[in-house]
Amino acid sequence: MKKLLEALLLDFREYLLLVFFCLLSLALFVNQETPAMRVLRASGLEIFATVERGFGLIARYFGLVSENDELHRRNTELLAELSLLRNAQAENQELKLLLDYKRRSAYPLKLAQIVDRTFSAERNLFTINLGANDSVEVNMPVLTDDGLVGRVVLVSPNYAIVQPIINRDFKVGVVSEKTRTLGTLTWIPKEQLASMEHVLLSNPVEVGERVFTAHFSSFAAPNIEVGKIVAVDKNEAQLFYNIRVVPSVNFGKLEQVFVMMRPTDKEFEAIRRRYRELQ
Amino acid sequence: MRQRIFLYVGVAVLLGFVQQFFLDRLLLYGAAPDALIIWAVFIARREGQSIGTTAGFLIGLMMDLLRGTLGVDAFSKTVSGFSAGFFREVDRPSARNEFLLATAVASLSGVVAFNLVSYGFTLAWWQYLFSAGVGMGYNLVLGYITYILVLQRL
Repeated sequence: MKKLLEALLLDFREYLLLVFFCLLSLALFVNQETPAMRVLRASGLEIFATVERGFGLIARYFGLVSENDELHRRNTELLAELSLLRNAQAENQELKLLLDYKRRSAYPLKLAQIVDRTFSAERNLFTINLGANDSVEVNMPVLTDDGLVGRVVLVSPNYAIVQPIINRDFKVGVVSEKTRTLGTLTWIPKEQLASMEHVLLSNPVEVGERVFTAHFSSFAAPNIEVGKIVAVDKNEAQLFYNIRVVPSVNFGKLEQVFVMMRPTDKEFEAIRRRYRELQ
Repeated sequence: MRQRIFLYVGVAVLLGFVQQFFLDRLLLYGAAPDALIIWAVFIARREGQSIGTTAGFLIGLMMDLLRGTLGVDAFSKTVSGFSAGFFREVDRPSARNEFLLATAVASLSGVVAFNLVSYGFTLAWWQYLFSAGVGMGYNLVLGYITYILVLQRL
């Protein structure tokens, strides 16, 4: 009997081992929630975690390089997005202000986009995307919610050229807000400031006063803000003040403008023209 | 013999970590290449079915301890080691082909055993077939590369 058992064990050793290990495995599987097995599993995981930490340090170094690249890429994308959003916000703000100004204006206003600029030290010009087809005429004032930009000097069917304050040939009648002193505003390219001219020394003028278009202006409606007096020089040898004015419009940031649809007073224009001819 | 046991154990432990940290992450359609099956096949072919079965069980148990679920890997690797034992290395010229055949059989039986213990009969038949096919394919590729680069020199 003993020999038979030995022979069986020898002959079927592999199968018996298979059955034994399979049963052992299944027993482990079934009983893995028992306290003893939990301790065993916890110990295994502890060893694994310790080794993983060691491997992790190496992997982390190589991982950091690619992670860094990825973060750089994401950062660039986000910066571009942020820039876009900031631009959109600024544009939105600007348009809101313009819309608000349009509602308050005494004359109808048409929004125009500046499509071209001619830069020069003395004769800056803007081109806007409104023209005769939009009922834009020569001498119509151009402005923003900040104040006067200039006037239309040339019109084609779909475009118009604007002569801004920062052009040496530009002139507009102005009045100071507080002292109600009248004068003519022109641009002084050398100083990059406007000058309020023909103000007699007998008139009181103060630094800090705001300057508005006067009612006698040939093209602009009265009371459009033009700028702020920043310097008043009194030269006793002359009859007039040297007054310097900073325009209220920031011409460097200008993108959209309004054309004030104020019809030109034909009779007034005719009499002026006639007077010039007589001279 | 003692040296060989040290070699088997040392390589198994090393492969266990490689499997856990690297190969298990190459999961494709629910299957990952199993370096430990390749090693169990190698041992079983060289040492015979009994040692192959025992090696399979111990290797599986080690993986169970690393993964935190006892019994599943031990069961499937035991079956794999046992299956591979049928292809004991006797004829060197055809060793590579026999090795690959043993790998295929061991993988297939191992995946079937693993699925039976893990999922019982809850999966559809094609899911069993699919996971067995993908697992076997993966292991055949890994087995071929390993055999060419390392195992044939041992």
